[in-house]
Amino acid sequence: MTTTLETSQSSLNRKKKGRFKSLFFRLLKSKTGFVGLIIVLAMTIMAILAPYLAMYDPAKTNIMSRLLPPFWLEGGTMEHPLGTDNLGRDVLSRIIYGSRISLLVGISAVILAGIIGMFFGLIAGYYGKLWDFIIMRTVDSFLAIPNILFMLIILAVLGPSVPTLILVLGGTSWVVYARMVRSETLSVKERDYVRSARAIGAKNFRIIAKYVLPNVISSFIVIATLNVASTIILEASLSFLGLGIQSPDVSWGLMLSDGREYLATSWWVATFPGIAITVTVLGVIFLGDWLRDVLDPKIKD
Amino acid sequence: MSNPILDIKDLRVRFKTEDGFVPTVNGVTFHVNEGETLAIVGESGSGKSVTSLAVMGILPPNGEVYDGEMTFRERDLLKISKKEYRALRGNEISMIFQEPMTALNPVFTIGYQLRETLILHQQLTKEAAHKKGIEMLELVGIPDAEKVMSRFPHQLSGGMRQRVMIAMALSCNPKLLIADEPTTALDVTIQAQILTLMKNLKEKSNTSILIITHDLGVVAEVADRVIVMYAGEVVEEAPVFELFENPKHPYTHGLMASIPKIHDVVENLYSIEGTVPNPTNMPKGCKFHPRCPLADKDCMTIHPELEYINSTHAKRCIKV
Amino acid sequence: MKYFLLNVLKTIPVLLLITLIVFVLVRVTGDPVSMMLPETATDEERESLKEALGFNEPLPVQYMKYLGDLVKGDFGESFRYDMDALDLVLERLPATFQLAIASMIVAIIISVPLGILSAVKRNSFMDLFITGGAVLGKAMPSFWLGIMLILMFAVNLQLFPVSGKGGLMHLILPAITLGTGIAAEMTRLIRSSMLEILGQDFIRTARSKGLRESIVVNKHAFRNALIPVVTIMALQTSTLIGGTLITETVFAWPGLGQLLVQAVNLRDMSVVQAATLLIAVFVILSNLIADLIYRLLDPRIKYD
Repeated sequence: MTTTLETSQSSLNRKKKGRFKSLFFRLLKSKTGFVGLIIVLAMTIMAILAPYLAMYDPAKTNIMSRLLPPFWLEGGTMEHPLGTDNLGRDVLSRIIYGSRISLLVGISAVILAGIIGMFFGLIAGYYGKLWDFIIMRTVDSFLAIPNILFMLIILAVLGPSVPTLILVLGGTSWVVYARMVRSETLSVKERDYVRSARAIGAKNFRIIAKYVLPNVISSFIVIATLNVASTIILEASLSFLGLGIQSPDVSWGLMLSDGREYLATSWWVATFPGIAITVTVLGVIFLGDWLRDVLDPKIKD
Repeated sequence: MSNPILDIKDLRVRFKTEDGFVPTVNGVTFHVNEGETLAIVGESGSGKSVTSLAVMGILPPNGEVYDGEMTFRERDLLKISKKEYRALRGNEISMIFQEPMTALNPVFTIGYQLRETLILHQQLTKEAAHKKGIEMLELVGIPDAEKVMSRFPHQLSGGMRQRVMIAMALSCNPKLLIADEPTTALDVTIQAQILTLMKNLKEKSNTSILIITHDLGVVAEVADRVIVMYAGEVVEEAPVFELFENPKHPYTHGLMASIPKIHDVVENLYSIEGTVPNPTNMPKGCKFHPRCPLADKDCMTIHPELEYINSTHAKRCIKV
Repeated sequence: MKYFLLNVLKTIPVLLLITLIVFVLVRVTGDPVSMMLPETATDEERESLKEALGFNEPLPVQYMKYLGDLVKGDFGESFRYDMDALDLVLERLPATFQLAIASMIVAIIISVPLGILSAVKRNSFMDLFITGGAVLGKAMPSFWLGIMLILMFAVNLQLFPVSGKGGLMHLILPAITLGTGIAAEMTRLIRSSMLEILGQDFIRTARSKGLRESIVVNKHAFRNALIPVVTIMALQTSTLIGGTLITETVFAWPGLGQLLVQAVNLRDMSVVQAATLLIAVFVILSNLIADLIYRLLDPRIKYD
């Protein structure tokens, strides 16, 4: 009890001082938050510099060197440190390139979902009544259909491609934001200063921009960060099921799907991309959990 | 009368925090005689509640008794095993708390919570415990006791819940009842009822009571003897009449002056200036000196000992 | 009871919206006619099929007809299996239930003791280990976990069958695969719920009664901590079913999930819509049940 009180007070005090400076300082103090930041930064750099880091063209097949083991096993060489897959493609290079799709899809889908969710959440919360009813029942309907099933159907109808994938991932996961933004908007709307702003005839747009948005933004960032983690997993799952990223594009989920066939003889093909996904998601979760502790003590899990 | 059943000597309790250990009880000495009601008085933060939790052996996980002695009926409470301690709790020593609203478990019936203690300590069967539970509820003046047994806490009023707590605490005929602000959360008429109830029950059973309160009105009502605590120390100890007639410590004076008297015009409600010091940042010398009207240079450097001015009255002040 | 009925009424617009969403997805966005006919079909053949299926009528009329069919229990035919889509879906349902229940059991066996332990030993090495494990369980994609389990226990150690349905042995790896993610979530939930409850006054009361610490924790605290946990978990039915899609595919488990993934890949849209609607109804039902359980666990809420 006392500790929460203290932290909220001290964070209030800190807010007055340089916010970003103290944010960074606190990041250094939290071990997991720091690890998360390092992982996310490393993955981002890997994605940007992929052509310089990868030793091979990730799509280049080489029948002569099929299913080579990683370097520490018999038959493995440093030329393919993590081995090769069934078509002789270099696993390490493919993992490096795979980070591009993971981050690209993960982040853009979350941004899209955030924008859609913010929009509908604000409308539902601010205008209420019929708008609220329609939007919230739509949210309920979306929640009643498992996310991944929803995405599978749309992808089956529209055909898989990277833009479609982003569209689908974003277009089905906006509901979480809509709910959060709506409830925050509802509570902000009833505060005295917003009421009086409305009473003196301030424009709705102005009220939303000036009073409502700043109040929802920190919860929003926290949820969005954690959502990147689940979106990365979803992308991998869809690619694994064959309706996400298609060859010759490289995705960790797709690599896993390829590797599954050769599990009995060549475990490394399916193992390393899975590790890549897990580490990336772990980093994002650490970063998100830390952001939640700092920005928004209100939301728990 | 002068046979102590609880004897506390130089008790010291500290809490572990991120910034190291914080001492909250600093060498408290007192005793409770058989059949006696001892009141511990002080503001919140004086360490009085922590003292009572230490006696019960239920300090929060980050708190520990790091020095002193606690003897209850010839048993050293700091040496007995966890199992022996458990056998005492709820049985020979029991406790009622400040917040009747939250002190009962919301998902179990009153009956269940009453039976639990009886089955545990008196090895009663469920039926016998149920019967005894109803008896106890009747004893504390709850109408429709049989029905109340199957109620959940939220279905009862605050006063009723505190009665249930008392029934629960007394159900195994404890030798010592610790009551931590038992009436603070209740409204005035209910307060009076609960205090009368406690007094009557004590007379019937010869249970000793250790009552913790910040309210001198409550003290005057029930206590035989009083100790006044400030910043984790005892600053005055006296029989109740003596204390009200002849308070010594300036802090006690302050507490007395802040009781509104019915005949007074309320405009002159004296209260002690300032607040209880933070245990991480205790003043040097006498801990009360920053708030004391009598304080001078000496008070800033000399930490006074508790000294007896007669066989029953002690004070911790160099000025009086 | 009145409250429950009110909640049931509230689900009606949601159900209607879901049928609309499915209708839009399956009938409007795609081109069902070209999926049903071979590629060599002539334009006349296409046109006559369209006419026969009523696809030339205005969309609202089509939707009303579609609703009418659904009410009659007509979900269409699976062209792949050549049988009634609803029958096909219902046939696969028990296998999925079996997997879902087994995974829940796995999740409970893992998360209840670990969640309680990490709350009781808060900030200890043990707590760090358990919460760390829970985050890891959340970060691992379930299909990868499944593949790794197959690699380890089926391929290398040969303790379990690689895939398919059979006795209990066939169930264990899929149940662990699906259960781990849920266990990770539940462990975190139980931990935070227990931490909150353990700081409550009535826990201090329970200790002051002389109860054993194990009874204080497992009975007085856990019974209270369970209320939010059960409610939130029951609301996760949708996630659980989503998980079966992947797990069943990895282990070739012949349930609804596997059927759905195949049907989507083959564009067997009658099956997809029948299964989707059924799942949606099921999710909505379980949300209603979650609400009932919540009321049952928490006596503070009245049934009016």
